[in-house]
Amino acid sequence: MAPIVRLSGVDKVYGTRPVLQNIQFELREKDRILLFGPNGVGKSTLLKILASLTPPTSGSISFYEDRAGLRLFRRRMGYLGHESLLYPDLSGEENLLFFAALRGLGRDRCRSLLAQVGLDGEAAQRRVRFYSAGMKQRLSVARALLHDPEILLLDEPFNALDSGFVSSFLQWIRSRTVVMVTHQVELARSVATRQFEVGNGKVVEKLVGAA
Amino acid sequence: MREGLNAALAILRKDLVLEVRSREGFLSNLFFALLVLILFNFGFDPGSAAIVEGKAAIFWIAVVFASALTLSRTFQRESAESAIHALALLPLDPAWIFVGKFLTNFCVILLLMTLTLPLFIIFFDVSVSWRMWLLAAVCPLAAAGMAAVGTLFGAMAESTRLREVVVSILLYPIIVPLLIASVQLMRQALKLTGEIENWHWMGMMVVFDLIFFAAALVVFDYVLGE
Amino acid sequence: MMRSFLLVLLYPMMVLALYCAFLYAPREAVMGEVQRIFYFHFALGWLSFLAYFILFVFSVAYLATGVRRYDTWASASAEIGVIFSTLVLITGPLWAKPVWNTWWTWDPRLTTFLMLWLMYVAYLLLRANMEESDRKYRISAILGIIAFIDVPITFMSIRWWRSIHPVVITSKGMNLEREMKITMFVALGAFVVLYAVLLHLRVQQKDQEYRIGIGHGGLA
Repeated sequence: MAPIVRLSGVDKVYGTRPVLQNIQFELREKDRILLFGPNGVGKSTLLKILASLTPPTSGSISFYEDRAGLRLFRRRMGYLGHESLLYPDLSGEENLLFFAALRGLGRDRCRSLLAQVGLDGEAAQRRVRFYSAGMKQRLSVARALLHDPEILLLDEPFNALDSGFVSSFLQWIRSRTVVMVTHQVELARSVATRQFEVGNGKVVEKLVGAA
Repeated sequence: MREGLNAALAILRKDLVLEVRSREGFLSNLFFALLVLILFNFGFDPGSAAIVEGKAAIFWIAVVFASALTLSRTFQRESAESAIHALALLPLDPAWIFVGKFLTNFCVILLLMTLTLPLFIIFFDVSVSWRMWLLAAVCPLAAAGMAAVGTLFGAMAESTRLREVVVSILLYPIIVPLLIASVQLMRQALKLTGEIENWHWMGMMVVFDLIFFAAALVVFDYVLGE
Repeated sequence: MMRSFLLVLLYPMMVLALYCAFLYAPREAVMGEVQRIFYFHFALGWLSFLAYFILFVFSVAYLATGVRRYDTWASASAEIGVIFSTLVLITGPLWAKPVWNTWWTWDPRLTTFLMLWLMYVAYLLLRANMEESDRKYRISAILGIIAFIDVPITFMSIRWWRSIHPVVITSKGMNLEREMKITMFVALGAFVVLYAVLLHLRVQQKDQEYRIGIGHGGLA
């Protein structure tokens, strides 16, 4: 089966600062990948390239090894960014309803998801500007999961979440294809099937359990 | 097609809600247009003929200045928490995001024009006549052109330093044809001039709008992403 | 290699252009000596258009391929174009004042040229306001294309605009003798080579800047 995303010889340069150099990387179905490494080494950049958010400076990226694969990929993929990707002046519910409308999803889906992440009732009507960090992260998670994606690309997903929510989130992750960037390595390792260390422009696979 | 149109309309609806919630932005722009109108008065001797001759131009300069300020706002709210990433990742042609944002800017600029017009009528002592119906065609055409170019420039100026200034310096030179046509037609509407070839100018505005709308649709994809 | 060839070509051509403009070309009967500035004005004007056309071509090439060097060529061409067209806008009034008795007239050609100048200064200002990134190159390329599309529309609209009002002064009606035409083309040729030399130099300079930047970027 064709890999979901394949990077070959990918470079990313910000201005004159090379962030990634000659990256070979494949994401396959049912992979649960952990990307780790110190701050500022390009983990988030790699995730953005995988998400098709930002094009590589050079090298090639393909989705399902197909020219038309990008749209299918975007249909199946949910992205949780470093920032919330929300509108502070809309309420939690309005935010979800907007993103649901963009994908042609209904109000019921938003309601049940809000209940699942514990943001029903008054919290749903409050503007995101007045959310706590934890509530905002929950809503971001709900936004990423809105269209029930089979593939998840997650940037620091466990930040500001309480342990109860994290464990149900991890449970949910187990049945999907995932790429996670996180400093909470122990949490991610409990579900990861493969691990990569990012640093010095390179991405190196580490054996699971060896660390 | 249907999916895309729905997405564009969802963006329009969401943006209009946000415009109403943070209305101080729009109101400041409208106030700015008023200031331009008033300041221009002090550039002329009281009761001089020059100001009668030039008032059509003054209206459009005020509108263009204030519109440029509204344009930088539309993508600012997308980048505040990077919501633009969520839009960019939709399984849609990014051109639909452009369409949604274009519709927003079109509505905002048209509203700005509509509200500036009565202020202009009062301060420049314009006698209202049936010929001003011409403006019902001119204003939407001008708003569409400014929104087409301005939406693209607004998106481009995002992530630059001095966002508002950048939008203005990009917008003003490009829309000169639109400005000329609008002023000519406005002079006609205010009976400041004899018969001019109205269709000629409106045709030019339509061509301007279509060319830049199409060009912006094509290149918009490249504006997204880092 | 390329540059030394161009330089060898440039020096004699510039000297020849100066010779033609000041000594070979006859004194214009009506306008007098001041008309000699026209040869440089004319050459710089066309080179400005060429520079902008090159900018457009490399902008399209960058968007199509994403090769960073195309952006380097595009921006170098824009910089030279701005310098050339600034010189056009300086030499024009110097010539117009004694001949037409006005510094400036809003005729279609002059006005369009001025708009062009504004747009490309805006291009450089946009670049100056952005951090180095792929996005900067893409956005500059978009402006390079949009500005190019705008030029003919601007020209047409200004022509219509002027046609409503009587044009007092036209820039037509100059009868050129054979020597004058030859001088025109010699000057044009010299400036084409000058443009090529400057473009080549500037691109090299930018490449070096970039390499030095990379050296300080942190990664080996």
